[in-house]
Parts: sequence; structure tokens; C-alpha cells
Amino acid sequence: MSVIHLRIEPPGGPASDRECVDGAVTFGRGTGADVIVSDDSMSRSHARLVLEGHIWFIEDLGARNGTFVNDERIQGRRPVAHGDVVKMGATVVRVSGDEPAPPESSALGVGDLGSSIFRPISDIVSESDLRGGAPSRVAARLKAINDFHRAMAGPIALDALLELLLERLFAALQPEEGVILLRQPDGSMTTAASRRLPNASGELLVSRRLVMEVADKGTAALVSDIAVDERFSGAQSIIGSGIRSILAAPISDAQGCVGMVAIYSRAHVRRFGEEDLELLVSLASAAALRLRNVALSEEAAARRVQDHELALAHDIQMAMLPREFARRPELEMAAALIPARAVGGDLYDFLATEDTLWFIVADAAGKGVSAALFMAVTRTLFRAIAHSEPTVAAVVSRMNAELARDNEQQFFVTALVARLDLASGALTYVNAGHLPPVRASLNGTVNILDAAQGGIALGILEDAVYAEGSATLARGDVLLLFTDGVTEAIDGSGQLFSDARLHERFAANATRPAAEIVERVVEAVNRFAAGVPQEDDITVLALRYRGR
Amino acid sequence: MNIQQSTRDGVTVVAPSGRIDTTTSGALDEDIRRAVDGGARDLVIDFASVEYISSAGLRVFLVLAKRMRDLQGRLVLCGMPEPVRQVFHLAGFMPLFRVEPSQAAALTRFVSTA
Repeated sequence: MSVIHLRIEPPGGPASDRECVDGAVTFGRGTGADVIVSDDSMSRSHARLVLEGHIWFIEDLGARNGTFVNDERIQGRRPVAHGDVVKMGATVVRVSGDEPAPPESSALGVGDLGSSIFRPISDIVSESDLRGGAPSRVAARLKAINDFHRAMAGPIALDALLELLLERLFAALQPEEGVILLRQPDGSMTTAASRRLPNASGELLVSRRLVMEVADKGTAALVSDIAVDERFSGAQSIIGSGIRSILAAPISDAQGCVGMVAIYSRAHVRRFGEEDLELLVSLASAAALRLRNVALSEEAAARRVQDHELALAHDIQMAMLPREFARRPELEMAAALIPARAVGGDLYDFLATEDTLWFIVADAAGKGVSAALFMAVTRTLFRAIAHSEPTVAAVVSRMNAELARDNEQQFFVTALVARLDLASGALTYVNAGHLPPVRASLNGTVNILDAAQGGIALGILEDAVYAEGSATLARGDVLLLFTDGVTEAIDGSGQLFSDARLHERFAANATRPAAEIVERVVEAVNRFAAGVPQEDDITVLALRYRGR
Repeated sequence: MNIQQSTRDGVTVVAPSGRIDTTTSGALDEDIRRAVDGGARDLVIDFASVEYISSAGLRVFLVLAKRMRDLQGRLVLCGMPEPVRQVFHLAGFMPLFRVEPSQAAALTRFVSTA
């Protein structure tokens, strides 16, 4: 501690007190000295008290009558500490207060408190101390700290750790109420645990002011009577609750403040003192060391749980996609879906009856869990509604109306919904904001089925109208459906895979089996985007019509 | 992504630049939301410096259009480069918005309809 108290006793009196915090202080009878003493046996500029690091030195400035520390004349300078008596001429200077303090107190203790919080010990020594109860109480407190350390030694959950801290504080300090606040990732402080006696009055409140003093500035607070403490004079929240005595300490470790703990009591029940504050600071510091570790390991555990959940969600979503394609003589089908994250918003599905095949490729906006939920709803609607309406447009309109209802967040899904008449090859489709499908014919031509833009993506306009497009598939024609994760895949230089590359790959492989077409297209996209993280879900579906 | 915001004759002009995708749309959404929370009812979004917009990016403007309708505010989109216009067009969203070729043209919409 670098604060030093001096009691200066000139030969003719009266004595005076002085506190030195830092820098240097000169003593002498001349007007140039910092401390001017009327002592004829002193030199005009006699000696100097100077702080270096945390040590105060007394330095003789060549005084005629010399400078003595504990009756020993000094040459040059020497350190002074609590209890030393310095003599300059006939003047005696008694040094006190330069004792090393316990580390907790030096960092956070009462010495650092503003004067408006600090109360002289005489004000707060309780009657029981005066009756001589002190020694057993000190022992009890040491035991409390010890027990707390031991209890925290084993594996412990965050909640249990906070409960333990409150429990020990109640046992050792007998407050009426106690609360622990923890700093959240956004910097705010929220109540993480609290406890109060059944007969405690008022409401448990921590003023923003107290949080600022304790958690933000890192000081411990002892407020022995809020009503007269100017720092809290405007804090009606505390005064109104009738609480008069507060102890608060930051929960800090080397990396900073992770929270704070505060205990309250009405003054007539219990008035906290300086040693109570020291115990609170000790327990809070002990808790801080464990708290960050516990919080980190709980975070890691939460992440593991979340990863596991996502892996399960991935499996569930993949299981929604058919892997067995309709084994019918009229058809050959294959598809692939590669989500950019664990789960995604892309979808393909089909339903076959004796005479018709319904199929869909869709892309819910965004990525991840929100998109996956919207995808799942879209699939369910497709399965429920296809077959039950006479036209494709009617199916899409109903799916849209369902998706648009109460869609505050404006999630949407682009979709290509189609029906193929297996006997004739007649294809009817609705393109709801999706990329148009591409057809490859046996003669090697590739053309885009964009006869009509069917309408707006699903989910936005509840009463949207959809127009159908139609085409007739010839024996051997192959249809390719896909999502924009294919055409908008990016290579290292920021180029898009593009429609042109897709058409070229499709044309080059159109005579191969459907499964191989899908494989070759996906391969080409992967090769193109080599080393660039996949931005969007990728879906490719190929369908060859063989005729009847 | 960089977002410029200015006021011209009482019209708030928001001009994002770069890519509007899953990663950046949150910040853009928040900026626009703040402008509307702050009382902006005449709003122009200038896409002139936008390179790319994803479906997640589109949602920002769908939510905005819905909110402006509820608040009886006016929203005009402008300066769309062809690739951006294509994304709006393909999803079928063009009819949901008033769209002008340039910021100057967009600003006249507020004068003539005032």
C-alpha cells in the first residue's frame, strides 16, 4: 500500500496529521518546503519523503542537524515503514499506515472505496465485537473461506456454485437478502441467483448505480446507511425498499469482472462492517476463479448438445428425402441434395400413382434451422395436397395459402411443382419463383421450360394466382430440376457456375443413366467451387421418360 | 457490405453495397429497421452498388415492404443492376415493389405523389 500517514510533532506544538499518497514531500522551515515547520533547529530545506514503486524513502537534503530514523542518523536515504519515528531537528514525525495489506483488500478493499461509501470503523463496529466476541468470529470466517474453497474443489455446475456462494454468505454474514449478478455476453448484468430470509421485508433490488460502482469500476462497496450516503441519495429504488445496509463485491479474476454479489440487511437487523466486506471480497474472489471455468465448460457442453441435436436434425431431414426412386418402366429418376450446413432449406420429393407422377423441387429462403423447418412444412403440404386437387395450379395455390398464413417473418420458398402423365408424357408444371427446369432430348438439344412464369414464390401473397406451363415429354427426354445452389456456386475468383455451365454439363451427359447425370453435375459443381466453402444448399433431380 | 444512408428532401435513401446474403442481411435489416423506427416513412433503397442478393437478402425487403404498408409509408427500390433485378424477377417479387431505374427517378415518385 502506498498511502502513508504522518503525525508531525514540532517542539512547540501543536501536532498535525498528514496523509501522503504519491510523489515527493519536502520538509523544512523555509517557505519553499511542502511541509513548513516552525522549528529553528531544522534547515530551510531539511528532508524529503519520496515514493518509489511501493516504498517510501526518507532522504536527507544535507541538513545541518541531520535526519534520524529511530534515533539512527541516516546517510543519503533509507526506506520508512509503519511504526518508524523520523526526527528532523527537534521535530518528530511518526509514520503509520504503510503496512502491507492482504492482496484481496489491496485490489478491491475498503482502501479503494470513495469516501462516501467508506465509513470509519468506529461507526460500524458492532456491539458484539465490543463485548469481546471478535476472536471466535474471525475463526468462524476463516473456516467459512476454507469450507467454501473445499466445497468448490470438486466438479460443480454453475447454478450449484452460485447457490453455494449464497449459502455460505448467509451462514457467515447473516444478511436478510443476497443476490448474484453475472455479466452476459452483451455486457449487461442479469440476476443469476438470489436468496432471502422468509421474514425479509421490501423487494430485492440492485440499482444500476450500485452495478456501476461495483462491477464496472471493480470496487467493493460498504454502504452502512444508504439514507445518508450521497452516492445513493438519488437511488430511490433502494431507499424505497427500506434497506439500509449493503455490502457488494465484484466477482473478478485476472481476465476481468464476470459478475458481482450484493447482500442487504435492514440496519436495525444487521449493520455490516469493514471485516464483513473483507469476507465478502474473499468469498467472491474464490468463486470467481471457479466461475469462469464452470461457465466455459458449460458452454462447451451446451455446444456439444447443440451439435448433437443438429446431427439428429440432419438425419431426420435426410430421411424425409426419398432415396428409393419410383421403379416403374415408364421412368428413371435420381436426385442428390447437399445442404450447406447441418440442415438446409432445399427439398425434392415425388408421389407416384398408377398413371401420374407428382414431383417437386423447392428452395426455402435462407439456410440452417429456420429454412429446414419451412422446408419440412412445404414437404408435408405437398404430400397432403398433391393428388387431391384437379390441377397443378390448384395444388400450388393451396400450398401457398397455407404457407402465407401468419407469415410475419416473410419466409418464402421457391418451388417447381409438376405432374407427369405416365401414359402420354404430358407434363404440367407451375414455377413459383423457382429456376425453370431444363429438358434434354435424344437428338442432343437442350431447352429451358420457361413457357410461363407461374407466379410468386410461395408464402408471401396468400391469394396469389399461379399459371401452369405445359410440355410433352418424348420417349427418352430427360428433365433436370435444380436449385440456385447449383448455378450460383462460386469459384475462387468469384465467378458463378451459371446456367451456361450447367446446360453444357447436362448436354454432355444426357444419354447416361439418371443417377450418373446427377452425379456428373454435382461433381462439376464441386470441381468448379474447389476450396470455396459451399454457400447454399445444392439440389439436382434428373428424370428420364421412357414412355409406355 | 457497406451501408450508406442519407436524406434527400425528407426522403431517406439507403444504399447498401457489395453482397446481400445470409451473412450480411442481418446488419442491413437492422439499419433499415432503425431508420423506420426513427420515423422514416418515405424510403428509397438504392441497389446501384449491390453485386449480389440471395434469397435471405430478398426477405429483408419483403419484411420492409410489409412494414411500410402497415405504417402507410412509401418505399421505392431503384438502381438495380441486372443480376439483382433477375433475382427479384425470378422469385416473382417485382410486382410487390415500386421500382425505378435510378435514384433521381425514385425521388421524383415522392414529389409527384405528395
